[in-house]
Amino acid sequence: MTVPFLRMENISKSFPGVQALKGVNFEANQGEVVALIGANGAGKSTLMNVLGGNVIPDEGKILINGKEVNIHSPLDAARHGIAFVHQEMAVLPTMSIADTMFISNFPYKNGLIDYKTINKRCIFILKRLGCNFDPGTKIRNLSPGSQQLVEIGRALLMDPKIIIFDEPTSSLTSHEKEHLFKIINSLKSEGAVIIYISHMLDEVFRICDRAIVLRNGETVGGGRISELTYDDIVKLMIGSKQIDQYYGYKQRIIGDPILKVEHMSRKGVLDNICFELKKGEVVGLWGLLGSGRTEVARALVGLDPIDTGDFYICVSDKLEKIKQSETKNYIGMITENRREEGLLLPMSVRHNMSLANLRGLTNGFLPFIQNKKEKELTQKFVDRLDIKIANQNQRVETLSGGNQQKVIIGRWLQKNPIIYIMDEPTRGLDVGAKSDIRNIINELAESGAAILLISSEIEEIMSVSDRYLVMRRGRIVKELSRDATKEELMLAAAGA
Amino acid sequence: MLTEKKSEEIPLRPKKVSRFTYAAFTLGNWSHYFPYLLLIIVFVVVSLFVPYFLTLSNQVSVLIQASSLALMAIGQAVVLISGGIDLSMPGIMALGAIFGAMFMREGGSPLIAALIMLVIPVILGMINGFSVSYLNMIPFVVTLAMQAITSGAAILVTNQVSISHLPKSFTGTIMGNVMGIPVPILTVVILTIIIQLILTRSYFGRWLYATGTNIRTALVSGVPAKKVIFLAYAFSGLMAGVTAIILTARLASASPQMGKDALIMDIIAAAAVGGVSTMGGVGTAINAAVGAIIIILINNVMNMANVSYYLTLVIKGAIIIVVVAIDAVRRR
Repeated sequence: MTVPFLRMENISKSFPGVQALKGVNFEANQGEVVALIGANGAGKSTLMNVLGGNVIPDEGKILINGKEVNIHSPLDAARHGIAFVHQEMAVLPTMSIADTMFISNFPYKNGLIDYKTINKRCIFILKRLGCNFDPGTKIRNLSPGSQQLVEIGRALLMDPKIIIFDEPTSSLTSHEKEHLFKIINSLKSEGAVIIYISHMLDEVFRICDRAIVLRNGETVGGGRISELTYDDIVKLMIGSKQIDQYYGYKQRIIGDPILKVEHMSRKGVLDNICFELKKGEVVGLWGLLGSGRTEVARALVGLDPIDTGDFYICVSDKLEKIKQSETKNYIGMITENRREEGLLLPMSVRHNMSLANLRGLTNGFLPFIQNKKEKELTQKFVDRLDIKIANQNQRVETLSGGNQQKVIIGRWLQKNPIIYIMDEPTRGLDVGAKSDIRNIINELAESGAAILLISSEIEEIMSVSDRYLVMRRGRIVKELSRDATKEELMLAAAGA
Repeated sequence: MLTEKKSEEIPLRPKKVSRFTYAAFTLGNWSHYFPYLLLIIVFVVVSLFVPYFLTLSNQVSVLIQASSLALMAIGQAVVLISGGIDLSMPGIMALGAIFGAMFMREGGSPLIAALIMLVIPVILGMINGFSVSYLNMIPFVVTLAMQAITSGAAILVTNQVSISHLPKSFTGTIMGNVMGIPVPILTVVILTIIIQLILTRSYFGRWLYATGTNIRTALVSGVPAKKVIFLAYAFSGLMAGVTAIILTARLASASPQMGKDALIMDIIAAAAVGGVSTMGGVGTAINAAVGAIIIILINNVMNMANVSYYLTLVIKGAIIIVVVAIDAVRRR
């Protein structure tokens, strides 16, 4: 084989606290669709952001057509014929298709934008993508799939030689998906290098020629798709590292259902979600990024609206139907964005910890908070969760991530709900704090609470869950027992 | 006192915090002490330049002047803490005053007139609150439009003529003394204490600060943030109403002039100088009241010095920008 068209050599990049890429090599040829596969946080996006000029690597070099190139910005990348079709579309809803496509590169004539040229090229590219929108159509009037096509059109504008697709199908209908595959195939036959990032193994097997698997910032394997099976790829994704699956796990006594969700749907986001949580049970809600895990959690506590759905909760001894707006009275919610949605950063530990339980701190008659009660309760949970603080007036933004997370958990312990939802409760925490949080989850379950745990770390979810609900594309596609293996979980989530 | 340490360095030693200083909990001590420091400086400067300033009767008259601004600054503070802004307070206040005064002119009872002066502003405040919280409208736009509506309506219903000859039982009672203290001052003192207590010691106050600090966190934690915002605007309407009563009595008349646009400058300047953050989550009622006294003193000294009205606008606008800039820099 001759020199590959694109070659990335020994790329390394570290972010504060994490080495995202550890000397990754990657190559691709013209007329080839290469799948870049890996679990959440494996380094796929970082690697492609290096190629797209969004991230400057610490080490390593990029060769195109055998010549070394310097890519320091998305503009450099574009100059070298690299186009990036992002997963999250950076569209401008109130602008037209033509404006969106040319936003960074308007052609001028006599000092004014040359709409004649723009419209001509726009129509040409839209035709190539097989759609016949008027270039003046506003983006907000297009379906998500068509918006994605516009994004692709924008990438094609530069006549790129290398096109990166990052999870391009996540918002597409199956019809639109077929259409996208056709476009990819035609680009391929025109000799472009196509890099396809996806969680969805069925798609990878459909359209890719070769796969490269990343894990923890390293290339762990790959090969021609025709010579690989689903199992091979899943094994590469999760590795052979044996984790202590039963870390701290004790068989718990699981009681009666205390929460039942039926037919919870929201158009385009959640599709007929039904499940139950039982007393003393930890349920792992597992799925890849964008599968709808977080959306389930948010809808469950009324933070996001739903189209349909019934909620039942067991208050005394039987399940009673309640409204969506009432669920939050029974559920403690720990969101994935600790700083943006979890904490009142400039406020004190005490005020953060009492936030959910303020009415419980009054004497029940006057609306005033009893200082002594507040201090005592705060101290009780600071001690119980072993939160390291100088005093209760310390501002919560000065705490470490682990202690901040414990403050949020302490907030809910003060309120003492019967159900907890924890969305990525250990994200960004060190090993010690992670194991603390896991212990707290176990303790809570033993004390009779029901816990819905969302985590991108398969080891974490496996170490505490009593059973799993696996999500894909906004649906719960499978329920697995605690005995499920890593491979089963990964296969169910990746859509095999 | 004016220097701010890096946030990391502050709290690692136990700190005794007095019970009325919620701001001290949240953003260091600056926003708590700064208004008092400024008050002392302004007070000293004014007493040096203005003859007879230090006489008791003059002090009392300054405080009476400050009382109506203080009430509105407190109402504004509550809205600012919630993360919004209320630009319609002058117009709402004037419209309430005018309807109440018209009722008395037609021979209505002063008590019911006072009630009218409270109820109309509260209803208008509730409309603001509903638009901002439940309809997700931008506070600036809603309340600016409300200011236009109310001040325009005030001119329409009065034909630009002020309503005077109000019954003595109204003006006399409001401008009278209780235990030797003028009623306007007493009202401000009592209301300030009650509102300060509600802000710093009640769960509603905590909800308000939480909503203004981070509405997303507040919602996730089960705080009824929309209701809180709605009530904040209704409350600022109520404060505009109380002001309407006091100001009508003091002027012995009600006129559309009361609701002139420039008044909002004084209200926001008072709140800002009092350390109420225009970015939400920080401020107290006492500080807003202190800010009102500072602004009144500045107004008086500029009056004495024969500074043109338009220059005072320039100066007050500049004060707002400087104070808000300090706040913004500190928050980065």
